[in-house]
Amino acid sequence: MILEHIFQALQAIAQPHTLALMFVGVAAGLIAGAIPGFTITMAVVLTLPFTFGMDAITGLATMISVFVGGLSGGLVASVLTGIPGTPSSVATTFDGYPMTRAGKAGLALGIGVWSSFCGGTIGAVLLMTLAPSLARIGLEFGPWDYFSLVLFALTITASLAGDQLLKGIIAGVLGLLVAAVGEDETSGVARFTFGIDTLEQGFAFLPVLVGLFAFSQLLSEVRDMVRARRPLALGDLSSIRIEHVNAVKLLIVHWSTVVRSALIGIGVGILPGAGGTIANILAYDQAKKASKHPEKFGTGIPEGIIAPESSNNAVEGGALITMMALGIPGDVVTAVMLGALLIHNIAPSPTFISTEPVLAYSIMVSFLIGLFIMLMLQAVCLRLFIHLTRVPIYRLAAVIFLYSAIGVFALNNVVFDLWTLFWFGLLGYAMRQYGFPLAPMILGVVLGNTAEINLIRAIATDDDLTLFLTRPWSLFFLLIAAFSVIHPWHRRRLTVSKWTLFYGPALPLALAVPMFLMGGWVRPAAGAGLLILGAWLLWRRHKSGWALSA
Amino acid sequence: MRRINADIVIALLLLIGCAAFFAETFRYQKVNLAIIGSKLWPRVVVGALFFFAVVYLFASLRAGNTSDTESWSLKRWFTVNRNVVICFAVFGLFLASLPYLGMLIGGVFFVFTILSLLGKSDVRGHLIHAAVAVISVGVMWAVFTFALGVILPQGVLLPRF
Repeated sequence: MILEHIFQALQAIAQPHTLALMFVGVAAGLIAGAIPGFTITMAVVLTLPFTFGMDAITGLATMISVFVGGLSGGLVASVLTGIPGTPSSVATTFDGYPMTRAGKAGLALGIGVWSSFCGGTIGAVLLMTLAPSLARIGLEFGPWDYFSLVLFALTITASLAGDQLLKGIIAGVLGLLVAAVGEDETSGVARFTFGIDTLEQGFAFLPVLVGLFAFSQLLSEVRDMVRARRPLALGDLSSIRIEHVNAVKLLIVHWSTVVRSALIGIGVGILPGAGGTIANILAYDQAKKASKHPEKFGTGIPEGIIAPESSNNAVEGGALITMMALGIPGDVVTAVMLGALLIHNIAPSPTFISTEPVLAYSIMVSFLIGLFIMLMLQAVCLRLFIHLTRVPIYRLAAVIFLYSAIGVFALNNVVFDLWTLFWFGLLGYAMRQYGFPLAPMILGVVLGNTAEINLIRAIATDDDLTLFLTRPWSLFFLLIAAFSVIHPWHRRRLTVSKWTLFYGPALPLALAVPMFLMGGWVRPAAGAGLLILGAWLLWRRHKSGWALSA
Repeated sequence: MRRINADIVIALLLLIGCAAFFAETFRYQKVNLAIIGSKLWPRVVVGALFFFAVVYLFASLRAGNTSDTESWSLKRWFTVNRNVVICFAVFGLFLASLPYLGMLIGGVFFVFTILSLLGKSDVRGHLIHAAVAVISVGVMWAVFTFALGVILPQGVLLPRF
């Protein structure tokens, strides 16, 4: 059955115009990723307006291509300039740039490109196999569980802001507030319009997103005059050739690093809110810990490039698993894709894969095909990408400002959307300046409607609010949400407060409760495993005399 | 006396916003058919925002004036944010002039103005900026108008396409 769907998806993707758009998408992503400051998310957001006129499959395939290209484009800047092209390639600079300085730029790029390809492929394969299974679990969810899942998605995204947890939560709630503006879907009552008629339709998703994310990002980039006028100092790199054969040989030698890092990437991607930014650092750190020569990391060794590049490309596979199986975006990019699906009147949910199999598998297949296109373009067009990154930032910014305005207008042909872009651009910039993370707000905007509908459904079905605590999945999500909120405090007080010693054991012990409530034998068995893990952690703390870590 | 820092101001603004949004929920039209009122979710969200804004206010008051070591001045703020102010002001003017100039002419002016204000202001620079503005906006306008069939604001100066 799965193979049949994959074959149908391949047929849908293998149309000349779709493939041509995917080539353009990957090339655009590579360029955007190669320019420090221009994030992949921004590239995907700006691609969205171009996909309105396309059918859902072509539009999503184009957006995924931009994403795949963007991840690999970040590699070019990281390796050649030592400046990460995107946040998800920060760790690539640690060993990529030293290799370039040692005259091995071609090898470093080769390792990066092939690691990206392998990591992405592992992510795509797991996406195709895991997403349908997770969707089956999602079918067990009632409105209580869905509401708690949204809460979990928001709190974990906010908690990733670390010390700015409170600001992250406020940003998430602000996102919910923005989503509440306009007519109530069930009763048609206008809400939070303050008497302004144009607000009755609510804020369109795209102008809010472009304003908050792309606009504010561009403004931050041009804020400093010197930086705005400076092109990337790439020097003379015209003679570089990617060393494919040597790179593949090295990847075969370090295959365990590839697999481990890709799995880390997928795991991080599945968590709502976490993305390549975290995955690449985490994979680098794990590769260093697992290495026989950790002291060589940072001096320009292959594992130092393999780990971050394998993981950051695998992230999207994980993020797409959550989006397609549960309708919850794994990161901001998948939030944009969720918005794109909604524009095409398709709402991902646990039934998405079974009701829209061709579209669902097209997303997965286009992710895989995008990786092959990336491989080809990286090999052929490297010099072109290097030339394009020499354009000063302010010129690109001015043009992209206008492109975003045209794209936003194209959504509904309404000038009000342009003013929405303007005001949310202002808000996004102010939020950035005062340390409010934008990811929770964007997730709040995207998930606001889902949260409201499920809360209303839950209360309309049964006004007993304790169901949020007694239903196993709901309790499971609420518990992780609570632990994710406490996590930043736990990290800050790690060496000071005794209570932090109980955080680690308490998490598996608490999660064991809903697992036992779920019935059957697999999940209670997993619950028993969690109990044993919690007890073992407590025993270790006891053995060490309840001493705080240094 | 404790000096007010940015966090305290933001927290107070959030609280004022909460009050305004909460007051707005009393103006909602009552629908008899609805099992659960339209007010429930907005009030849940505003309530949550209020709670966290209060926590934020107290946290800011407790933290005191740790980050703002220099006194705030408009001149210094403008020096730091000059480019941002320019971009927003020019974009605002572009939007206000859209009904008259349209997306094509207005867009070219917008890009050229931004480039000239942010970039080098010599003759060569202006020529490059003009070329970038005309080509980039022209191409994008043509793509949307002729290839994607989107009717962009045309203004009053150009004939209708």
